[in-house]
Amino acid sequence: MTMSTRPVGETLDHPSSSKGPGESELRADVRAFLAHRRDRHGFRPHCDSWMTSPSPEFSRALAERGWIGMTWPEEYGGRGRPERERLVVIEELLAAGAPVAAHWFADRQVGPALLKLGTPAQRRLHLPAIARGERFFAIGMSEPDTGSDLASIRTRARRVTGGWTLRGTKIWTSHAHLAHYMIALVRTSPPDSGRRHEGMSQFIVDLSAPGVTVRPIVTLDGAHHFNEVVLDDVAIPDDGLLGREGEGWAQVMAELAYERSGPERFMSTAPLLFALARRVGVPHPALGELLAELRTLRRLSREVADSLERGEPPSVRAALVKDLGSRFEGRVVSTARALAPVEPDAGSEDDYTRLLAEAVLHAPDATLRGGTNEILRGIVGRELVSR
Amino acid sequence: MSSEVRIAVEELLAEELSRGPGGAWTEETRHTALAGLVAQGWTKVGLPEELGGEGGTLQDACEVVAASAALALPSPLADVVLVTNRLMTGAGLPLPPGATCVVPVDARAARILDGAVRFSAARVPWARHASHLLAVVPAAETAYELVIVDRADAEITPGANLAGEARDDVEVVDATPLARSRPLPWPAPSAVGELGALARSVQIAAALERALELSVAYCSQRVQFGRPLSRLATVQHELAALAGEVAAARAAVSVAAETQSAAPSPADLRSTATAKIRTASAASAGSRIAHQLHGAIGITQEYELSRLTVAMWSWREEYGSASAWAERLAADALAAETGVWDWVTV
Ligand SMILES: Cc1cc2nc3c(=O)[nH]c(=O)nc-3n(C[C@H](O)[C@H](O)[C@H](O)COP(=O)(O)OP(=O)(O)OC[C@H]3O[C@@H](n4cnc5c(N)ncnc54)[C@H](O)[C@@H]3O)c2cc1C
Repeated sequence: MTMSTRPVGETLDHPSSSKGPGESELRADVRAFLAHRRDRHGFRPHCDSWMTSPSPEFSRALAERGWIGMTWPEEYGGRGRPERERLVVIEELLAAGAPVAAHWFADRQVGPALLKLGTPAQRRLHLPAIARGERFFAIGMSEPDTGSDLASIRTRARRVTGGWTLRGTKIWTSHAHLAHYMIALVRTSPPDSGRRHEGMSQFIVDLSAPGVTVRPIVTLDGAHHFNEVVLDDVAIPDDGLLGREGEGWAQVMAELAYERSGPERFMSTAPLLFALARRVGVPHPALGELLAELRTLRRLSREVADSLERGEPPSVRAALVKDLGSRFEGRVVSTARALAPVEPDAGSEDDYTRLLAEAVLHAPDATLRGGTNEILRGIVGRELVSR
Repeated sequence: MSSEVRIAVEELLAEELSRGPGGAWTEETRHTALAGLVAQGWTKVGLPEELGGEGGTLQDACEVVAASAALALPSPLADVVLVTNRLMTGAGLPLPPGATCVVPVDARAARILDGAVRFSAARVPWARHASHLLAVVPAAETAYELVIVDRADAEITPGANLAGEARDDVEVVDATPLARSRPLPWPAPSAVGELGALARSVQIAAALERALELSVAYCSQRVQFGRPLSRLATVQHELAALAGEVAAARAAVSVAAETQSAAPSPADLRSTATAKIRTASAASAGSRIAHQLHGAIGITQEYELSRLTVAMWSWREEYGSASAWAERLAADALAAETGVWDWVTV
């Protein structure tokens, strides 16, 4: 069932995706690593761990195994592995609710962006350090007055001799307080109402540079993971420009395909789902329905990984998977509450009770971050009607 | 070969369909379409040549069924190609001479004694239109045999599903089988339901994809407030949600078809159940959106959409409801000693 001959079908078309060689061994390796880490260093699974559980130490241990930047060429510290293998590794990390947030953005989207757009010097400077688990990145797109309408950004880069100065404010910047660098989308020429998507560029900002202030923003669960980043005439050298001046919009859109398409878009509540299965113990149909959806989403996400491997940015498909996946994450919570009701308690010794609390408190996040579901549906819908 | 299969079947059916009024199937065009499919050998796809079939893979068989479902042809094609032919392939049972349409029977109380077979079954697809009936009969404690009897030997009480497809009660009392397989450990009687679940899943995925096409086309043509509906953001969002249901249904069906091609005998419970559960929920959510987008015209008999959605409303319950399959799937997952996540990734 892979072929269709009609135009709408093509939007959704995909090749067959069966298991590649060596994937089972790799999966077993990652599981053994995680079991060892749990026994020796004792981490507890968390919902949303890719967003809210950073551990630089864990990231370095992962890097030692070659599991950060694993698809990148060896000359830049990668292992030259296929996308499918990376998918196996990150699925296992998410299923275990492991503390992977510190390096997540660098591994997921900064590396691929540098490989595609970076100069050889930029790649040499950053990629090996990322792959060693020693350098973390934040993503600076949103601003106080810019959310869904990303083209309305106001942060500006002014040309000066030998480089640029950046001025403006980024917001909701996840882990800017832990990260060493931030990729910022800024205006390099004033907005032109007719051509809103022109005149933007991406910069690699050293977050320890003078003029950068990172202020915490506390989320409703009392945690600090995102920030406001104020850029007050921050000097950026010439080679701080990522890609080409004025091409920022297209670059960011390509990057978002990586940002939106991964299994973290449907596995944020997977630790709760597994704890729920252990707790209910009886084969309730609602549990079977969640498992069927998880299996289906895994298939869709493999198809996206295959497109990335072929160098075809799967923007529409990625948007579609994120819409389905983030709604599934919410359904895990409502099904858990229906099948195994407890009073959620983030401090509980009982894993299920604690994971339910985490999932409930993070419930609004999934359909907002990385582009809201309304925006994603807009992308898919426009593609459908423009054919 | 698969996409060629689909194109060929679609062309044949589209031509027959165009002979009728208003693009709807009539009793007559439906019959000539089916006769055309039989004459060109499409009902024998997926059955090896040495068993009297036309050969072809499971993928090919899925494409034939998808083509007929997308064109809303009411026919036993799915049951014949994806259930009968696969059971016969699994058991190595050749097609008896003169058999043009052998439908599978999910039989109760089947037994064979001194060469005479008896069974009964409720809501058998297309029984009254079949040339022969196929049933799985226990042969010994852990062995089964496939038997084929002449339809004329069955007492048939006609019934129908929501889309008017024949779903007949069947009673066979001491008939002499025209063909019998050796006693085999497989297919067990549950195999009819398992293969049937994949058949209905393939049909739903294809019908829903067609419903998406119709919805996109309709919203692009229909003008309200001075512009096509497709320019309205909320309409685009609904189309996107429908496309999501289509993508999920197709993905679930793809996994099941691939898993079953790799291991032709015991239908893989996990992927079959996943396909039936996910396509059933896609049928529900997807048809709701398609009807909402179409407004009143969608619920008319004349307009194509209703032929697809009404059939899906029956298909989602046939060969096991989503809820029954979900219970089996959950039980299978909970029985896995290595935990649910390991069960998901195997
Ligand atoms: C946990 C989390 C982490 C984040 N991390 C980062 C980060 O690291 N870096 C970063 O740059 N950003 C980050 N963000 C910001 C995120 O990208 C934005 O929240 C998102 O793009 C939406 O913008 P907004 O919050 O300003 O909402 P708004 O854009 O103001 O939207 C408010 C509501 O209006 C709806 N809406 C807006 N426009 C339309 C439209 N055209 N059609 C229909 N509905 C519409 C939206 O869907 C939403 O429901 C993060 C957000 C969260 C929740």
